[in-house]
Amino acid sequence: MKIRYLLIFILLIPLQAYSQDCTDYHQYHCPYGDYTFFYSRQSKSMLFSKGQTSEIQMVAYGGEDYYIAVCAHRKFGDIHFRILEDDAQRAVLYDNAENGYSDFIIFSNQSTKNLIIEASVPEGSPHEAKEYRCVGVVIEFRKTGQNK
Amino acid sequence: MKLSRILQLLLTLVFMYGCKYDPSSKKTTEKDVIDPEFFELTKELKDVYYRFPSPEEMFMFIDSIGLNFNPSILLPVSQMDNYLTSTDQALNMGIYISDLAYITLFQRYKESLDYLQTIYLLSEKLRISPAFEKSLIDRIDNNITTSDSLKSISEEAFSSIVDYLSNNDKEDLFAVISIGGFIEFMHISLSLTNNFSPDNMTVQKILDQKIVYDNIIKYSKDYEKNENVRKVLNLITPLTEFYGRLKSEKEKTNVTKSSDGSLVFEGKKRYLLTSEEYNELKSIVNDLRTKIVQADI
Repeated sequence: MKIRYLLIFILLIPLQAYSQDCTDYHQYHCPYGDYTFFYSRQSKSMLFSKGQTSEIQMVAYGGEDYYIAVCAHRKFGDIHFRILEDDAQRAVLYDNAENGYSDFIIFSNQSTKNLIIEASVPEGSPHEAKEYRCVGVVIEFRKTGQNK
Repeated sequence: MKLSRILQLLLTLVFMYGCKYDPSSKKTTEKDVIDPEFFELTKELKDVYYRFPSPEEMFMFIDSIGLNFNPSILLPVSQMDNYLTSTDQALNMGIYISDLAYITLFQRYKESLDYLQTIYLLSEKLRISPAFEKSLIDRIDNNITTSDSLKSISEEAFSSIVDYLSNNDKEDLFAVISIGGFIEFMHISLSLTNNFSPDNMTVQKILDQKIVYDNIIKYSKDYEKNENVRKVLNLITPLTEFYGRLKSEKEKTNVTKSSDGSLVFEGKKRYLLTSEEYNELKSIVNDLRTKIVQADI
């Protein structure tokens, strides 16, 4: 009986390890802005499969510039990301598909607002749909005009 | 006999895995593919992630207008021993984290050390002290005399707590800590802004924090199954109702390009607030903060 419990315990050990995988992915894989930007704790890594779309709702303060970068494993291909306004219309403020799927964007923000960063991974073959990998988003900021 | 052989084999595999996995290196590698069968048992995939700035970032936003340093408005570290339940400990840990962010803004070394130690002691009570690696504690002891180190240590301490809670499925605890931190941020900002005028830039920046509050609430609601989170969300209902009534006028956002080619999200926003409403906000924050620091929730 004791051995059975021990077996269950041993089999559960890897679960702990797997649950920690994505947390700091963005810190080591995403490109960063120049030294004028400060790292924001709003940065985040998420678990994705091919064909998935998820979003981050972030606070963008007025009078600040933002640097936003997205990164993922190369097998995911180009990550499509858009910045939307968080209102009923969900107006698209930026779409990286119109910018050659660039992995980063810098913008100045005039008034404080909630923004949605929507990230999508391209569809893959059916067997790839069950492959889960990390997608990271780095958010940095500086006061507007601080780079001059 | 067979069972013990299987056990032996499993133990060997586990130890081999342990040798391969290096917990000191936090890097996730390019090769990582996560097995969904394992993952689905531990975490559900999410469509929406709610993020909000750290207290440090919130103070940096306000700072451009200029706050002064007034230690008398902070929660004394001696109060720490009064917090006996996990809800009180988590809420007041949030209070101390915001106090530390305010202190580091003014580069007060002695006070920073006291508040960092208090946060560490509270983390022990909450059984999350492994969030603080020994190297971080050593740096706190050794590098406390330079302002840059102080700021980076304070930031690192906050990130360590956030990462640890996230890694260990304790986001519900982080929700409670964040609510405590927000209330203290509001308490400090409102205490230092005496002259009300609807066009006062600092007042408008304080009101801008409504968006931070909204995201903290949406984040916390994901963990509402937890009794402590429910209790704290219930506690802050007066503030939620106040923000629900807060009116603003907003221009449509236009995207333009600046001379250097970077994007500009144009469009102003202004909160409409009377002097009476401003005093009501102060009073709500003051009541909530008093309940939290007196462990009377």
